[in-house]
Amino acid sequence: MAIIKRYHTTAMKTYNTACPRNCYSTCSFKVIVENNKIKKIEPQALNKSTPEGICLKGLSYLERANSNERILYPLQKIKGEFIQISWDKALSIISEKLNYFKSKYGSHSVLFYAASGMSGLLNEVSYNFWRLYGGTTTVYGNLCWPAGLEATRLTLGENKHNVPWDLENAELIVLWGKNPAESNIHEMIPIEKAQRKGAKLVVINPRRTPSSERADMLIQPIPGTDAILALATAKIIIQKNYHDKEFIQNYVFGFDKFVKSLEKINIQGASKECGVPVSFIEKLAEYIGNIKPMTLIAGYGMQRYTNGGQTTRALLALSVITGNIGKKGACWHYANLQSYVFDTVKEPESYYPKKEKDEPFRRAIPTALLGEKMLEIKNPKLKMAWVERGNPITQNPDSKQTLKAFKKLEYIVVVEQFMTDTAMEADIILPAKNMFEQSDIIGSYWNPYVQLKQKVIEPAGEVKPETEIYYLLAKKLGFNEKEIKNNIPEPKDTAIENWLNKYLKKYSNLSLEKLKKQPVLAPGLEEIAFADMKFKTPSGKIELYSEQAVKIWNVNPLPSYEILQEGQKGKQKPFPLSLMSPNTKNRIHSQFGNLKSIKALDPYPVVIISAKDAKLRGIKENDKVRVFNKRGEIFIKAKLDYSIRPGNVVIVNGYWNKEGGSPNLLSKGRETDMGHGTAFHDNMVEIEKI
Amino acid sequence: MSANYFIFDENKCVGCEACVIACINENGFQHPETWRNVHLSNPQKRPDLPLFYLSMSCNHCENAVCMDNCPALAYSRSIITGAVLHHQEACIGCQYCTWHCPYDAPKYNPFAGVIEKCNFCEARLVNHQEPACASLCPTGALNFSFDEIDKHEIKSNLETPINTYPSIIIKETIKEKAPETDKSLFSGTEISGHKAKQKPKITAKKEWALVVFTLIISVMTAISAQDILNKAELKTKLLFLALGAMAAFLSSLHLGKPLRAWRALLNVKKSWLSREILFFTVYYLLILIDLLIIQIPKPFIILTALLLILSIDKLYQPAQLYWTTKIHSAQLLFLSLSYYLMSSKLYWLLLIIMMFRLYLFAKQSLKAGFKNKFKLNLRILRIASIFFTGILLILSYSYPLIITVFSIGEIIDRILFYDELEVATINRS
Repeated sequence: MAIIKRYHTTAMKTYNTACPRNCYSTCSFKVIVENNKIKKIEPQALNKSTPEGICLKGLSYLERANSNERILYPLQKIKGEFIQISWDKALSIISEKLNYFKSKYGSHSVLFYAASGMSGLLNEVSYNFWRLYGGTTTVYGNLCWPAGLEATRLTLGENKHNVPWDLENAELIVLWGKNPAESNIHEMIPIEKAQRKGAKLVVINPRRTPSSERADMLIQPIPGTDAILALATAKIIIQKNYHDKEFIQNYVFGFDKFVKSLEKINIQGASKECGVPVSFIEKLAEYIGNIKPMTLIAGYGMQRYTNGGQTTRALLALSVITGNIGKKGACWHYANLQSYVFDTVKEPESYYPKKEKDEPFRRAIPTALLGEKMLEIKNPKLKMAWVERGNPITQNPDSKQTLKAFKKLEYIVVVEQFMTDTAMEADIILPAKNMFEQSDIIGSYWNPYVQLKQKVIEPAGEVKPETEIYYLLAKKLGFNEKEIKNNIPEPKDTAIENWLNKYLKKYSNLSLEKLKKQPVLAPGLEEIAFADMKFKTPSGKIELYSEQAVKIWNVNPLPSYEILQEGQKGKQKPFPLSLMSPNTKNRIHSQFGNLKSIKALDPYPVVIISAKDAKLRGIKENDKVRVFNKRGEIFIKAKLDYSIRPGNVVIVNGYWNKEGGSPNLLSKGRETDMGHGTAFHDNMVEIEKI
Repeated sequence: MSANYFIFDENKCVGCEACVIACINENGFQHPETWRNVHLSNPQKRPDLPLFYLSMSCNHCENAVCMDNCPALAYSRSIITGAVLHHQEACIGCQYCTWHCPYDAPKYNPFAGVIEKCNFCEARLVNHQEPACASLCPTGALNFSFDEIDKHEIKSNLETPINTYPSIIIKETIKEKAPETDKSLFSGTEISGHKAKQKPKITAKKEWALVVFTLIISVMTAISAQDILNKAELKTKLLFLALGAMAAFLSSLHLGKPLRAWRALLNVKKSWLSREILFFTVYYLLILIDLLIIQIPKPFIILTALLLILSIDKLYQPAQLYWTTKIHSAQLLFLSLSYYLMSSKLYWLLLIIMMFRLYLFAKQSLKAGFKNKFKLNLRILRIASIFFTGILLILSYSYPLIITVFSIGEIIDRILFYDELEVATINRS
């Protein structure tokens, strides 16, 4: 019954599924299929986090799944042009190359690069294949959120927070650097409910985002200075005796040292450093100190600076000293990994370049420095790359370097759905499955459900899921049959379901049958995270003072404000503008932007500039400008904004280089202070009219 | 009482535009304009003002001004759902409905040459399914009700020039102020108005064919009201008729579907555009018969000419909403009258009329402002033309020269008239 073959029927059929993109919301939705085609997308009310339906990107799956721009056949680049070839030929060429590079330079001359393009348990099959191959070079770290995850782990021991719908119980909501209206639209539902009940909403962001339109207060600090703002706020809270002494006494480690470290903080000086008037810092302290329960929601953008981990620790300290942890309506809301029940090593620890299991499988380079390290690495040098679920040339820092590194390779295989910047560099493109063409199990880092992303149609054209590609390639390479059987599922729907069942059977309330009908709450879910006040830290308490922080990352054991490498005051000439590259509602990283329906709303990239900075440079609305620094330049249209903090400009990330707009043409590869994250938001530029 | 209406809650809308994609999914790709739009009250984000989002397409009004004014009867109302439906196969692409709809619901597709618009997801409504946009709004801001409602009872907080009794309820805004911010960050930034510049719906450049058409009509009616023509040679008469034919041809040029121009006559009952076409046709036929076949009594011709002029002026009524005065110096009645007085050599009357028009012109100019250098020069030229016409008349220069100098002013006035036409749009309200 598991095999869904719908070629010979015209009946419409409705399936429950879930969106596997790298996004907080991870919406459940219903998909209606007719004649092996996606026909309609409808809301799935059974997910309490996303009851009203999926966002605009999710709705555009209708176009994405049926797009005639999709890559449906293996393509080989011959004299600069992509020509359709057979699977057999593609796999023969690839296996020849793999054998050749392995025998001549060793298996580490091949780079296996995968990113967050599609989540699911089956992604582990890729690693299994490359282990069988004999190991490869791969990346460690992550482009997204590790500094904040590690900061949270150091402080609370785990990354989890209250269920999304608990937010409506908060009396004070602080959106610090997060813009859910665009990145997690369903979070705006409980925020609006809380506000209707009288809750206050404070937004801290250099930009005036759609999330701040209904806020009571919008504080606009200089990017990268959030830590000093938080520490100054903490100092006032403690001075005014607003802190929760009983909570601190029982559950907090290192409070006295923290208080002592605040002695250095001068409120006037802090105000100057972060560009927020003292009156606003005092008001923030009054709010956080007096209004309970508070949910502090920290975004991911602000921890993509060189001081990101320490900044996150400073913010988290505000929740800790006011006792806003483990209670209804009160939590530190960063990442909720409670639905990742199948992971043996959870993020951020999985990002460390650990030796144990993976040696000698991995020779790892940091993803934050991909281009630079690819060029640098020796013994053996990189000769070939295999890229799947990612578009590193657009999305990793310093596009120019990344592109240079890819161009230097002798052979590139890219598994893709569309002709991305990275696909353009491939020697062979293999057509990638979309989310409707293979079942997989996904979790969410925000909502607490385990979900099944169901196979609802047969793959289009000659598309093969990655598991099948690896299976066929393993056969071609002549791997040991038994090893293949243990590591790679056979290309049959039943084999995939058996593979997934292997995981599900560990939990009695999870089964494929159940997940096919609806999302299921994660086993062991704590609706109110840390309600038991148990913290998996060395001291068993919430650690404001962390010895691990020193030991692993060599940073201050206490939350501290660290000056940025690039964007700090005094070093600003000749690039005085801080470039923010946030996510937009219109894309998930570099996905969706190529679709006609998304282009109808967002046709070309723009740089958003404050009216003040524009005037200084003689720039008017829609003028073509050059955004540049010593790493690169972008020619783009200007859009004026009267509410963005002057000194900041914005180019949302995700536009492809070939569309002329990836901000990574300007960014630099740097690691964050902890967690092996990527500090590409520390990025200064200048703009001129052309 | 009628059923089916949208319910929009500004407090929940964050401007995500999922409703727009939902509409595309349901009704097909829409280019160059989407049928549904999310409007921003403060697109430049002035720090002292709040920003609200408003998702809107067609409100399927009880008083459907698009339908009433469509000359080609391309609109109808669905008996089952109350939807105001547009029929592309009947549309002549005159865009007159876009002048009337205060919600910008009809969208002109220049590639197809016709209007497109929201159909209330009629097919879904019939099956008791909400329109796609309302059913797929991810925050629950856009909703729908199948209930009966008296639209006259709805207190609309959409400021529109006339109440069209739209099928939409907009919920009360809870938080009306912008978030408190550090305003000193923005000191020294001058802010001119809080609306981003938007393309005007009507411009002289876009509607050049209409500028020429109406100018020809004013000259034609003036001359035919005078008795000059009957005394003229056949050659002049034929030239005159050719001019009229050209006017008709030009006016069909601005249509998206010129071959369907005849359909413009279908809604004489309600649409001033249909009436204009009707009176023009009658007037032209009368002149034709009068000049070539049999003499028609003068009062008939003058009456139809007046009706034609009246209907042309009436046609631009929706654009009058934002004028400072109810009348415009370049209204066709004035143009025709001035040409008539000029050709009849009734100069004292002409002087009075021109002085009055000059007064109107000055008022209009003050409202328009003097920022645009090019337009300022045009205005100066227009005033100069009146002045020089007077001097040339006093000095008894040759008639053709006087007419030319006079006409320069008239042409400029009419061109500016089109640039000053402003119609109700959602961004204004």
